[in-house]
Amino acid sequence: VEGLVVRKQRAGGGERAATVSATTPRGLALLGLSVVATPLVERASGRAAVERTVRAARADDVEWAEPVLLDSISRLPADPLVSEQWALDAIDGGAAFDSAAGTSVLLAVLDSGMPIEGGMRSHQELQGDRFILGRDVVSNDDDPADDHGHGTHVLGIAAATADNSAGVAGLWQGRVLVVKVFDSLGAGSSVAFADGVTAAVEFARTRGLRLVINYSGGGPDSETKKTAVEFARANGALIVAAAGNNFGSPIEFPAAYSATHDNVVAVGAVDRRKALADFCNVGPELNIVAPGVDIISTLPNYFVTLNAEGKQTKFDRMEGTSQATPYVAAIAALIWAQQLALSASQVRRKLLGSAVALPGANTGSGMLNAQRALS
Amino acid sequence: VGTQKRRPPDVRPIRSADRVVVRVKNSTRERGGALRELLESLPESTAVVRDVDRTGMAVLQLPPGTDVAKVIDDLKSNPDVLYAEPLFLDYGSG
Repeated sequence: VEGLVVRKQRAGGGERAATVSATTPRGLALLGLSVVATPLVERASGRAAVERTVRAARADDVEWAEPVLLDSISRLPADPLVSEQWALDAIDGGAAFDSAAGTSVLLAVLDSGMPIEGGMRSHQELQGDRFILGRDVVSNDDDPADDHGHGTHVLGIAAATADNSAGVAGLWQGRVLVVKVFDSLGAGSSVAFADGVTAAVEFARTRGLRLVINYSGGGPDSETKKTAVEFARANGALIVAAAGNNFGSPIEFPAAYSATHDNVVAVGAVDRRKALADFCNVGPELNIVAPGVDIISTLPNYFVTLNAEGKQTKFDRMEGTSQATPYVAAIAALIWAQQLALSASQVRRKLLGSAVALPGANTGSGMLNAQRALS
Repeated sequence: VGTQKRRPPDVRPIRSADRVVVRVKNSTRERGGALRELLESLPESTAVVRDVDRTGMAVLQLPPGTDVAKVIDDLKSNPDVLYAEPLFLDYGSG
């Protein structure tokens, strides 16, 4: 607070009453602390002004002095469906909205695409140039329109526009590259994954961007997938991948490469009670868990495959390790945006090191925590 | 105890029944030429349905009734081939 310093008087020293601010709270006085106004100090902002303020408040009878610092409570965005996004509280997600995404980190979402009609982004929550239309490796063109719905849901969790008085709020408000690797039935392949990874890596590399890849899918081990993961690693990219939903079966690939590749994070899903979802695959490769049950997010504003399966257009709830993965990927991107000098494996280490351990087995380092990861 | 859900068992195929992935070795030979030679050694009407040039991988469509495992074994024995495997299928996990 400009012009105010809190200081501790040495034992036996007397406080000069004239300088003690009327704003000194009674609780501070009990601690032997006082808030001191420093009228002789130029009222200016910036570090130099703060240092002058503190210097002026120091005296022989003062043990220490420091500026009165402002704290704030992280707040969630005011989008109308935020109150239904239970996951944001569960991961202390307010910190994500206080953290700047910057322009040097790219989040690539490899999935079934995003809502596009007539070549234009068509969902109110997924508007603007920060949503970059990447390759459609299914049709081998540059129109990653979502004809299934899965990709739009994942994209909304990660990056739906916050504070726009509409729908939900995504954690990552930075640039997103949308790459379509799943077809209208939600199916992809080892080659589609590899093709999508290399497309994202090349996009980021030519622009000097750090790259986090979200892959909310999985399948069997393959040389093709492993080659793509190693290509990403050689180019400094981090891959955040879903553990899979086969009710306790082994972790799917590429997530399971987390055991052998330090640029891969394997993500499991928990429910509101922070209990591992019963559909979640398990194994020693699982690194971290995040909310993946009853997750509200975006869906295309036109009819797609998921609507035929009972989902609504625009917004609806889904569940799976697919839904847990983008929470983790978004926080990884924010960690990187804070510290651009980190490597992919260092981002991974910070992500896992800041997770909150959960009781029981099969949750890796524990629950994703945005506050700890970004502090 | 986790969330109780009722889902049907996953019976989706994990590999394509008639497609394989082959990656030729990086060498002085022109890659396209190596792929053409490979095709000549495979059953007639085998086609390259996807050539992901930046990864060096190609997806081959085999004629109906082809023994896929044998084709993969044959490809693996070719000195120009880095690896060959079925086209494994992935699915969204949501």
